[in-house]
Amino acid sequence: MLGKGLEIHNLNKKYKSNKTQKLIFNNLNIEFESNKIHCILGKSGCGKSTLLRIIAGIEKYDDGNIIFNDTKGEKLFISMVLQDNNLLPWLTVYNNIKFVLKSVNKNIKNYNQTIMDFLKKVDLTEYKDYYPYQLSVGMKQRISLLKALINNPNYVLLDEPFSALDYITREEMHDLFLKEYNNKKFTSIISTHSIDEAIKLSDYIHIIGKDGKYKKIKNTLKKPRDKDSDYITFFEYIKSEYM
Amino acid sequence: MEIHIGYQSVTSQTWGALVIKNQKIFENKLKEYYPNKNIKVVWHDEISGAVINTAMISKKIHIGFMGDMPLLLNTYKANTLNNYESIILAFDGKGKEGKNQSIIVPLKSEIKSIYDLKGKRISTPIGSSAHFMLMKILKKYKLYNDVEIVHQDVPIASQLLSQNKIDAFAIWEPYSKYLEENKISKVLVDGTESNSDYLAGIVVERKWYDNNKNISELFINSLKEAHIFIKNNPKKAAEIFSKESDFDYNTSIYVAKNISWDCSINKEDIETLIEKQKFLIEVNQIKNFDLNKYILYAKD
Amino acid sequence: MSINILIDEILSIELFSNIIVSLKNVCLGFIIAFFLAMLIAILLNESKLLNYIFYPILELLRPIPNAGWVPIAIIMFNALQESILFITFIGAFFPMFINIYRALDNIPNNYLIIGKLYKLNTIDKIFKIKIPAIIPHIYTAMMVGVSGSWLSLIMAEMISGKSGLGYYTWKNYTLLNYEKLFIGVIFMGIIGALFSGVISFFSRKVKKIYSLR
Repeated sequence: MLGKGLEIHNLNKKYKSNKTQKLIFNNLNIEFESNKIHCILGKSGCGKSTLLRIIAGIEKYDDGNIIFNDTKGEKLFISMVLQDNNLLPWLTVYNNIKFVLKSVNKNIKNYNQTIMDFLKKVDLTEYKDYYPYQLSVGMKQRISLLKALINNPNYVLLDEPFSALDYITREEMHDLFLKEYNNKKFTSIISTHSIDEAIKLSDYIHIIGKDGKYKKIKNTLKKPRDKDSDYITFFEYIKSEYM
Repeated sequence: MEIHIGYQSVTSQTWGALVIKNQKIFENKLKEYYPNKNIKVVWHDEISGAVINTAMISKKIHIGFMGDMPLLLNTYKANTLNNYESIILAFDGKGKEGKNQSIIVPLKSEIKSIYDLKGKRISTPIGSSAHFMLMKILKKYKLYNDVEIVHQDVPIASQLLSQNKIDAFAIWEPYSKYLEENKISKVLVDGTESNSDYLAGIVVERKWYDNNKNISELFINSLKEAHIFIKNNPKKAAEIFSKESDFDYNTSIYVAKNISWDCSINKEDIETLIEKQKFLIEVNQIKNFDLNKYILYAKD
Repeated sequence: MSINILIDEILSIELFSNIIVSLKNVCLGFIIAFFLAMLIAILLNESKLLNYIFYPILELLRPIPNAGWVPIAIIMFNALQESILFITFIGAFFPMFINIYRALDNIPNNYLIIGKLYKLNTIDKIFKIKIPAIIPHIYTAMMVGVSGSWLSLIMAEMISGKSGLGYYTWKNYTLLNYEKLFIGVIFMGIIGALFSGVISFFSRKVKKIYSLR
């Protein structure tokens, strides 16, 4: 059953500085279905990152309602993957994972096995005592992505997580993400400015324009989403709505 | 031409300088004798003899007013350094037997006699006449090994005394009178207990003196005039002292009347200097040298 | 200047014992200053209200030179040694405070987001994220602090009137003992540089981890 997931009603937020007041969101209404991958497509400055932070509960908003319908009384857990700096630079890879595990469960006892299993999964076992500065961007994002899933969150928010990567690494990360999604099932909201990425990953595409224009489009392409004629048609459609 | 003169408004026995400066005695004589020369006199008020000495050695000051101990250190440096020579020209204020110095204690101090200084902490500026006076008195009363002597500069020591953080202060005028006027301290022992004169004088850079003998003569005459002025007009002199030094009138009038203003270099004065020179040698601050080479014998 | 006098003096007990006194004066003042600077900077960073009230006061006090603090130090404390310690403390406190305060203000936002996301309590936010995030700046602060404390020695030890490298230097200036004055100044420079060098050495490994040059 497609449950009602996350509902955002009449979201309002202004950006206030000394002289100017800019409207970021003006009565924005969005619905995110549970256990689906949602991509927020928008140009820089349209507020995608702000929206994700508001959903994550770490940024305030002026007016509106944010309702999580699908947690049924159990504790809501939201994890987030940022564009970079997801790992604390003063901790080794091992200790970064340990930090995450302990933050959710202070008294966790046999974390060592969990961490070693995790490292095997990301294929970085020999890097366990390395510091982030010694890793490549791709390695760091791989760890960050899977680290975000380690505590079985209900919601996974990703803020332009792959934009700093080169093409091949990005493709690898897409595949990894989809594989994990199929295994675990969570609701995911990904912000991106790449139409290709939105098409490849999403079940729903939410386009946010600079003037507050909003449009939600269901992605009906069949998986796997190769670049055939259907893809190109859909791409052009999204592009026309995006511009 | 510029003539740089260093003096100390914090040392009363150099206050002859204040009168010369205020009444422009020296400047007027220079104008009279050298009407066509543009001679500028620049006065430097320094916080201690040490500062004036350092300035003289680095050729920034030509004529310096200071107490007898810094005078000795100055001439010692003239003796040891290759590129510095100096000569003691005259004296300014004199204190017979050690007058115009004293050991003072906080107003509410329980120290009543000199013997009460046993085990106490006494401050005095290092290498000064007051330092010498203190040593001589302590030796006289056989207390030398029973006190703690510390050396802070005058403003800090004054504040420490007022806060009872030191027990006694060996210092010269105007401070003993000034602190007494302000109800901070009282005199425990007068400097005359040391039986050694306290002198303040004028030392001059030698090369400058050799090249400017006439001007130096004019300067000594200015000093004589200033001394006559102070002796004949103590009240007016006190006003000048007060204005130039920022010390109050009561302190200034006391100073004007109690200091012997006498620029001549006498046999007793030289003996005093030699006694103090011996002391400096004893405490390993200087090595022996012929003091007479560095003193100008006044012609009249 | 005579080389013999210089060598004799450098090897003398007087110089050595004065250096030891100064090291004690500075180390203690510096350590107290470090902990207070950390504490106050963290408090002002956590609380907007405390910051609003106290930061302007600290900024007003910061430019006061050591000489200005001496009379206050004398009034505030009973023993002279405490007054001396206060001056070496002040010499270290303000530079360290402002460094740490600014560093806390400039922590990359993403690290703070991580703290919020994992719903860390305030204590954990401070000890697990904020303090580790500014460790390179703490080293910088320590270098500036120990420098400031060491530079305050002359003023501080004038209060004691009897011991320490600063007092030794000032005393020899007054007595026109230029060789000894020179030695005093040189040693003040050497020891100051040693302090900085040691801290800098330990900070190098750390700076690598934080990817700072």
